[in-house]
Amino acid sequence: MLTLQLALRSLRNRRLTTILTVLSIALSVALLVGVETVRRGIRESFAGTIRGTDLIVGARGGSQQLLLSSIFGLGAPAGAVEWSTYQRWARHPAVAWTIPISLGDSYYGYRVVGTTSAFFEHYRYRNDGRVTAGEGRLLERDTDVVVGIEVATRRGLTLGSPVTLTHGLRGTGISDHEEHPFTVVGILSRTSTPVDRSVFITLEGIEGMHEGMPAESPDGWAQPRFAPLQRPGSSAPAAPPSGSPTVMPGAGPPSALPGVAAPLPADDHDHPPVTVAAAEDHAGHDHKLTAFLLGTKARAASLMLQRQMNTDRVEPLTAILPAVALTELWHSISYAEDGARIITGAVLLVGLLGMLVALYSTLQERRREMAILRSLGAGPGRIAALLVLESGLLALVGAVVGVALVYGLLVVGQGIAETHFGVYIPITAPKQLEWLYLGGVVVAGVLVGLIPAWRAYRNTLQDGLTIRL
Amino acid sequence: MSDRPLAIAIEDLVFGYRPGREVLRVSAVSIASGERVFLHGPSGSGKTTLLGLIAGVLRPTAGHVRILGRDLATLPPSESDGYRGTHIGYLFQLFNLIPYLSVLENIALPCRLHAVRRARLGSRSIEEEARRLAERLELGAFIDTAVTELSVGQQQRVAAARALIGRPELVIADEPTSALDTDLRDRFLELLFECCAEAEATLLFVSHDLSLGARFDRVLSLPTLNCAGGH
Repeated sequence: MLTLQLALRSLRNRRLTTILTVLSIALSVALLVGVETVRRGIRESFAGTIRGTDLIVGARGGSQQLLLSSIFGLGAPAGAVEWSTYQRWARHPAVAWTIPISLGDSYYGYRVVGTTSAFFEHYRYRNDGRVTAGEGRLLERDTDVVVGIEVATRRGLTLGSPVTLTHGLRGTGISDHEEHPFTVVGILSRTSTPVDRSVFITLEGIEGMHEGMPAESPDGWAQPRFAPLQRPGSSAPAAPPSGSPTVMPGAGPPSALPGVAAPLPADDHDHPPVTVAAAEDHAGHDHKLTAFLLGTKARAASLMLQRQMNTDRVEPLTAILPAVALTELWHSISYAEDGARIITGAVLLVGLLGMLVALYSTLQERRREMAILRSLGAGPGRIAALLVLESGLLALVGAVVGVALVYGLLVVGQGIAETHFGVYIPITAPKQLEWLYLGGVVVAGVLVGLIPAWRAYRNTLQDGLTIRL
Repeated sequence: MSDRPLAIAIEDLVFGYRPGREVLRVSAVSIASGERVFLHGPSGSGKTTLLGLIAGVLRPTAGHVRILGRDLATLPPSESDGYRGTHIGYLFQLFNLIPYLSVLENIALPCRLHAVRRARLGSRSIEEEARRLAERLELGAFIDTAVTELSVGQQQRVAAARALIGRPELVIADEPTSALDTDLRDRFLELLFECCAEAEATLLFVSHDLSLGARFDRVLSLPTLNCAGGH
């Protein structure tokens, strides 16, 4: 008790050093816990990007490729899925619902997702979150556009804004579908998923947009347009991604340019709106999807369906379980996490070394104090304990301040992280790992304190009752 | 006084920091309880070593040092620390105080470290006794002052109060007045004598200044006592 009181008074006496030491430990602990919290937030955000979907189905290819292209809008899909194949599986008795997805166009770099109302009905994220319209309504007509909140904010879109979509995924320029303008009818609520950065139109909208583009591959409009666009007239077209069954759209001859294209049918803008509900009637059309999501009537059927799809004799497909693919993907990038951990661990080590220096450097001037305590009958053990206690206290206070700092920053930064990075970081009580870190920091503080304590112990034995000046 | 054990009894004491190089050899010294003894110890006479042996911080190479009849060398180190804190009040030449404690806290330290000294206060609380001693040593006005702002004379009186609280049997003062001017020195000695008498403490006062010796019951000379080679 007396030793604790002495430790506290001694630390208070060296206020500036104490505050600086506590701060350096607090910052390193904050970094450690902060990285852990952000990592968990990202992981949960990431894993929560898609929920409730039992299978993601696309053309034969890698599972990561399919997951990244269909859900995260990253990279290129392996190929396309025939409409007839989609229809066949959608009618499978084990299937409860399907969401068709057609990718390949963009709007100022944001991906355009052609889909049906099924998307808004069945797509789930995080904890059973539905994609809903924050403003306006969802897709009904083939000229309707519904945009994610980030697209709306960044591009300054409001309800009624006219939108011109781009053929391919690069900016604007060579093949804008200017002749086929869309109108924003809805702005989606924030989801903190790639949905926020997507533009949704109906499958019919995509179809209408691509009709009358004679240079298109004969396979049809729904061919994924993921590869970099080439300047018209460029001699060597880029190699299509492996597995891509067709030549690259957008790399076609100059006649693909709007304006040079064959005139559109006069009634193109006037044909009666096709409702999304009618999408099921597309069986007769010869077009393709990029992928489709499906939900089963009974979860247990997922594996059976997956096997059947992966061995489909009509069209080579890849069906993946989202949770499994997400976990695989997370593992494949986990070395970055390890890197972050190593760096934060190193920072903590520096913080503790700073404390060691701070304590050790005072030992010389404290030899006097030690000799006085010794003359008063305090043993070398008590003097060593005093120093261990001081460093333990510094580490403890530093750790507590550090954790408080993280929570403070979370309260302030949660909204910012969600708006700017699309990462929702939940504020939760410290988990086991954090407690382990905190305990570890305090233990490390005590261990570090043993070094000056040992030195002080040696000093007191050597000095005895001599006061060295 | 013969019924009480000797405060300090030294018999055939030999000490060397390294084997074969003795710095201290004292055949016999006896200091009775309640005596006020002046030990003349110019620098280099082995004064620090002798005080370390008496306080139990150093252990004799041969012979015995008994404090109140107890040979500290026979005790384990932690017990000899406790024995020192309980029975000996110690005054340094300078810088006696723990800088981060208040005047009262400095005075109170021995009672908080050692139950026996706390018990000797009887019904008085530690703070009451610390205040009483502070008043007694004419420190009443400085009780709330930071110890780092006290003058050297005031610091030495705080140290004296701390050495005396809980009435230890032996007070060792190692050149406590060498940093004081003559007037302060005389007043300090006067107060120290009075307080030691009140506490019935034996006083071993070490100084190189022989002119102070006349005020003590007895004067010992360390260079004379120490028969080690070179002295």
